[in-house]
Amino acid sequence: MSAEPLLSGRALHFRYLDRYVALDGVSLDVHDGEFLVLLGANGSGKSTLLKMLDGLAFPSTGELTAFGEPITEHALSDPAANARFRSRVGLVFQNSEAQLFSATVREDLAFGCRQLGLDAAATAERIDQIAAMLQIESLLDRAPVHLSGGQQRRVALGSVLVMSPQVLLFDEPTAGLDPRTTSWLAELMGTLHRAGRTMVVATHDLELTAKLATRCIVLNEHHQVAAVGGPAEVLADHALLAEVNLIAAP
Amino acid sequence: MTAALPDWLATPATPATSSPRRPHRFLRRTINQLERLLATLSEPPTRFTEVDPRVKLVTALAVLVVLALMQDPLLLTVAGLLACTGTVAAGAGRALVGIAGPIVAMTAIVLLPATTSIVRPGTIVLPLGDWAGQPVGLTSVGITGAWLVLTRLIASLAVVVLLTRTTSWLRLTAALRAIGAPAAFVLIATMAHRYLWVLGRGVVDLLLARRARSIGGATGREDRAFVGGSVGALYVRSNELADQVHQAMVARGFTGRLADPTPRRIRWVDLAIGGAIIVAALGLLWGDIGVR
Amino acid sequence: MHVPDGYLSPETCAVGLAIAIPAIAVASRQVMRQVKGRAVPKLAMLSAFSFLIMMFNLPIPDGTTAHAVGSALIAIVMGPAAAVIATAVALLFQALIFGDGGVLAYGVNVVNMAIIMPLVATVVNRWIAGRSEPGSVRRVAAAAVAGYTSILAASVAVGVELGIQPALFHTADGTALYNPYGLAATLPAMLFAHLLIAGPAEAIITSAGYSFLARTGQLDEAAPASHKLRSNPGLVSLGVLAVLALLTPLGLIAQGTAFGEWGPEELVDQLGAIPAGLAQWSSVWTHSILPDYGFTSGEAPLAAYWISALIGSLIVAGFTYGALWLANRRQSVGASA
Repeated sequence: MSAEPLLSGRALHFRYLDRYVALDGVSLDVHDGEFLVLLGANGSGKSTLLKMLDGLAFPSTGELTAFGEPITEHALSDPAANARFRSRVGLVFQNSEAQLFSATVREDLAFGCRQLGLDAAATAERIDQIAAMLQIESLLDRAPVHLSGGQQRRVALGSVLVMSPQVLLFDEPTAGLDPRTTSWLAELMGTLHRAGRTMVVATHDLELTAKLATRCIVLNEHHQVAAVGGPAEVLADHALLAEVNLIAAP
Repeated sequence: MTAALPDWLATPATPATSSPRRPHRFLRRTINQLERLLATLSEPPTRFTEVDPRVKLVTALAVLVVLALMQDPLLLTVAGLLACTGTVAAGAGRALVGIAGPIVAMTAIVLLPATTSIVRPGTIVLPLGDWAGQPVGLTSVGITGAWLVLTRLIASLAVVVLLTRTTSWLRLTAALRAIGAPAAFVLIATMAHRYLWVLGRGVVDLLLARRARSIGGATGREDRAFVGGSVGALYVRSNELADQVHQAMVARGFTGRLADPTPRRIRWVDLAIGGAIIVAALGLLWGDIGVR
Repeated sequence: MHVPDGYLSPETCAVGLAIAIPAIAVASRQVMRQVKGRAVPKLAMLSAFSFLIMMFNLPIPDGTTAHAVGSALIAIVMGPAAAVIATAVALLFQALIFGDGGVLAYGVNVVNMAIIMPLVATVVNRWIAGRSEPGSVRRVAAAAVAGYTSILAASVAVGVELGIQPALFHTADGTALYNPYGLAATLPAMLFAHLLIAGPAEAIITSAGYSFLARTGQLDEAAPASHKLRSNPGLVSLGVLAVLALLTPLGLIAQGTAFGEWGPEELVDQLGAIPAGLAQWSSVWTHSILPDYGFTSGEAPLAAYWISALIGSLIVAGFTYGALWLANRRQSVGASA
């Protein structure tokens, strides 16, 4: 891995609402084409870290760079830098509802296309293709607020994928899904990875990690990095997993 | 099982090439404001929590009325200093600066023209020149009037901050009920405060998700549609949450009747503190009426 | 729009509270009956919703951002009584948590944003929407106009409340005790800001919010009946009382009683014929209703004015209440027959 990392964080600190420590000196690199899994129990700071990598939260101290450019609130206030960064990194939120704000599924999918500057014909074509891939063609004219949790997850995924970002960030993608949808989603994430997309997935799903990860970063409950390594090595370390509360203590 | 990826997903990504417009500031501003709200909501009361909330509430209201009645700039300044000292002593000095700062700055700017002879004619104490053949300057009545409004505003804010930053919302609403506010209104206000946290966090995520995908391709019209959608989605979520809460309440035996929280006995020491503050305030008012 | 403490005299604040408290009581009774049992969590939710709406920065067409109040939207979707409660609770949060709007001035702020606004929005919306289909273009336009006019009405109320302060409350040497600007300054200032900035923001949030809810099918349960306002006699008569209470001091200033700052001619020049009509209206009360109380002799013109205006306002509000009550009664009799 000699190539320059796509995203890179150094000694990131963050306090949620200026009060609760969410990250305490976390450093990480995201390399082109890898499937990186952020493992950690609830409240370990995974979500905060993903929001930071997506330029939605900014470290109180520490440095963040993406594609060789510094990522700060100020840097992103430049429209060109903002467009470069946000078109290349996409985040699928844990709470799918949060991503859906239009009156119909079609409009929600069109939002990203409009942001990219696609015209009406290209937008319509892209929506049809993504809907077919996500098996949501029949939902296109329904209101997202009326869909089931699994359907909302698909639409939320689609609303990020239409922008075709190079780096895809997922926050707890399988939480609350039925087994069939879970395996469908895992397969889709594998396909996206094989197609060359860089994947960063925050989860405490060890099965998913074993199946897809190329590298793992483990966060402990003190919001620090506890371990970095290949999935086989990390998942075999039961003492570590118990310590960070990912498996019940033996 | 999974359909094949469309071409634009199967091939390497290319960054946006569309000519970006400056993204609207409304997202960032709203997110900042909501995060400030969540920070305030998660802030536990600082000091003086042991003083009975009913006493605190009645005392605060009495002091506010006295402040509104006072007319002497000097005595009002003394009252303002006392109120601010109390707030700082309660460990709420930072909260006071955060809350009062912008409001006071606004007020000061708004009041500036009112210190001149154009708005408040009178004896000019600081001439600024001539305008349309008339001498223009700061008048004593203008300066005094502006000072009255400004100090009264600061003192009132200090009293409110002192009250709310030393009392949890639950105890504050219970105190409101105890002094005779309508029961239904108080219960609604108590519950609404709890929902604010849940809904507020939901809205922040909604706006962040939108911000994450904003690269400036949308028009003002689409921005406005988004706000409508956010408000609508928020409304739908509020309703769902309200229904769930209602079911949970019914499951626990809620019949639609509201029980008052059992009041504690008021301690003598609390009454003494409240009484002393009110007497001090009335003393200032008495002096104020005396110098008129 | 939110008046902080310090700008208004305690008298003005007392009048505001005297209208706000019964209005909140009447409105909560009304809503409790409307949505039996579920009312409390629902209204608590609406209050939180209302508060969060007020935090939204809205992009308005000229490129800047502005805040909206949102009580017009709630009034159109859930009815005026629900809007009164939700907005009043939201204003309580704002006063206590953020210092936005005063505590003594709470009643006045409730009158402006939680009573006048939803009532005006309901009337305007009904008037423009007519019997058109829910979700139709006409309905969305009606929501926009209702949002715009209701915030304008509230801003006029704020302008009046602030503007009457210097004429009514000053020391012998002319020092203004509260807000120092007269009506000639406050009314244009409030109108200007709301015609151009806050008005469009309110129109946007009301119409966009309404249109979203209509398109996603969220309106069926609420569906405000066409006679909803009329079935709110208490609320409407309190609204009338609020307007009269606002107009009373205007009449006082117009009469020039005891306060020389505004001659009637001057005010007529500034505001057109409205206060002149008011002066006449107030003299009707002083001369014809209360002729034997010695007030007309000029011993206590100020007290005479206030008392007669108060009685007059109460009679008008009571009359409104009675008329609406009768209308409702006849309707329900007709329905049962």
